[in-house]
Amino acid sequence: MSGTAGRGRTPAELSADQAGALRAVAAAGAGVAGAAVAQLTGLELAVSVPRVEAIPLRQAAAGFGGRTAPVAAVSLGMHGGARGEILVLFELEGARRILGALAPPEPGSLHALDPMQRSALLEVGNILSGAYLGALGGLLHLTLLASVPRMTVDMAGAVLDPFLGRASGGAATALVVATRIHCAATRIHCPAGGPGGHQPSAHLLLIPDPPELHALLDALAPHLPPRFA
Amino acid sequence: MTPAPETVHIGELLVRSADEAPGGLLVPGLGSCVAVFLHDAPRRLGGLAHILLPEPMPHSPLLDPGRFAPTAVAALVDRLMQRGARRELLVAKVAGGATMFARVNGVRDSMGDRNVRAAMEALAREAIPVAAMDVGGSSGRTVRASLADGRVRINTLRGRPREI
Repeated sequence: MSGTAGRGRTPAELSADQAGALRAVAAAGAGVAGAAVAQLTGLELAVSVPRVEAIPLRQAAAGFGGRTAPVAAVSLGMHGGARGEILVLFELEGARRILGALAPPEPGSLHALDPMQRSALLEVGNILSGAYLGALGGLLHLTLLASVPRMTVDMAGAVLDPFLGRASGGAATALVVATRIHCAATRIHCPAGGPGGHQPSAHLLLIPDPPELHALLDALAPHLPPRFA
Repeated sequence: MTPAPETVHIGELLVRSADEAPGGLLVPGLGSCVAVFLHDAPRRLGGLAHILLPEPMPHSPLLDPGRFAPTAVAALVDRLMQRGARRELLVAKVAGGATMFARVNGVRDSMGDRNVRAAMEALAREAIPVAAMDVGGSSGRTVRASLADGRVRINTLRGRPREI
């Protein structure tokens, strides 16, 4: 798509170039995030990005098992060179894999997280956000900053509601970065081969303020690495 | 088996009789949005709006009246009257308007607070009494309204189900 310019362009679809540029940015951010998580925990953890996509925010809950499915959510504001919101969502399986490594034992449900586990997920969300914003800002020569993170555990639809309402009258687009946190060490519980072992551990949703979305995507295009050109 | 409820998506409003929707009307995973249910008990007729915002945004096209509190409540009353409801018999129940994340310093009203206030103001303008409400707090709600008896059942992730 993206053949048409300006207001006629569908905001919820990425051109191949844009998707490629975002994947490259996300991969760079993942490298930084992996190093930061490893430093925080002393564990050999790596972060990868299996998928990047743009979706209408009002459809996002469907990707998390529906509006009533529980998620742990970390929310941060993006400010500096571009404004918007960041939401890092952990489903139960992803949270179990992360907490199995960082703050065991694995929780039976998301609303049974103890304070230490909530704090661990908050920190992982914070690190991922900072790393991706750093990579994006570095490429675009913008200073992108994240505000203090806030956290809740609730139904996916309920968590997404306030972001839908903000600034767009319900038509916001989210750039979704699926993120997998792998365990490189065998001494920690790491069911990489088990059910869901290759599924993303977390999803980072970048929700630029609507006027900023196309400017952000257009600014990415000249920075495409050769393999995406 | 209990009949499945009919879902009211964000920005929508639905008007149904108890015979048309025996399972009632459902808003799943309500956060800062607010659900307004109007019921005409003798006719076993009701309508549910899933409201996103307290008012239309400047410059935003007014696509669906159900998105905004003032237009949603007015449209709900109109549609119920078209279906034969009597305005003086309409009773409202209101749920939702949670603050899902702690307030940022210096921000007094969350989106949820503003949604609830706008819905209450719109109901007052239409002179519709509010029989019960379950609003605010920091938890999402799933709301299911019965057209047969006007009861509204509320489920959260942690707490016990309750009814208003």
